[in-house]
Amino acid sequence: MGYFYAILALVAFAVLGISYKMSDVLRCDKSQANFFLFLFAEGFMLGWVLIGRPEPITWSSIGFGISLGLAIFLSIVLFRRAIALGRISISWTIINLALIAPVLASVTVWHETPSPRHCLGFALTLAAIVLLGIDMGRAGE
Amino acid sequence: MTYRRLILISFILNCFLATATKAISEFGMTRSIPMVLLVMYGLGTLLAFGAMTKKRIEAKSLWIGLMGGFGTAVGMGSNMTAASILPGYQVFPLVNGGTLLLVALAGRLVFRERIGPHGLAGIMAGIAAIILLST
Repeated sequence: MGYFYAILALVAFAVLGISYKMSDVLRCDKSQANFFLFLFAEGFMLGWVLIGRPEPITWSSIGFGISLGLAIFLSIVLFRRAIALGRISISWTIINLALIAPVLASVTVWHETPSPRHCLGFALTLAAIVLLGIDMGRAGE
Repeated sequence: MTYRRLILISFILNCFLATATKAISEFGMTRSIPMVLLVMYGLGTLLAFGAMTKKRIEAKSLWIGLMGGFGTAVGMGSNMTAASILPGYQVFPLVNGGTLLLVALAGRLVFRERIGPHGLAGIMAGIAAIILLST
């Protein structure tokens, strides 16, 4: 069952990435596409909360929710604009490299010792950013 | 705003989102995640409604929004459920690396994007980096 959920997550995140490019190809109204994305995400999340038994809402979850809500709103608005000017294959890779931030935070803030794999992943992230930057320059983006 | 600036700001915001998610689990609030996400998407809905420029509903935007909403909410929910059943070193590399590969393939094969050798190497390095960082 675990693999079913992992594959479902993989497909769902890929659908999200592809939906950005489709909205540009289909010339959708960006502001409406953003509104419906959040509305449906809220609907799915409400269903999850009603079915599951999460902890009751607290001030700290409201605080985190508000700060994350502002960040994700701005991120989605700007990313949808970026997709209209660039390629999804390159843009999606760059955005997902943000995974490096919590790894860096775990070393600097929570004083965890990075594994050799994390060090190699960090080096590859820098290499990927440089290579993608060169490709963007050559494509005139 | 230029493409590079838009992508850079989105990247920084995503760094914040990813780090905040790590902070939630570090503060022992893992069970509060559904509530945090409920508030997060709720605020996003309000802000996006306020930013809507056209009030007449477009069917295609509705469908694209449904795809995106499904992707973000079901993706997060399934990812967390999978991680509660399987070890994280199996779930996160599979989901994160696999998603990058699928979207890059869709860009190349479906949307006919031209990717140069540097871009291809960058995507491959990115996928390898994500897999290594997820373990």
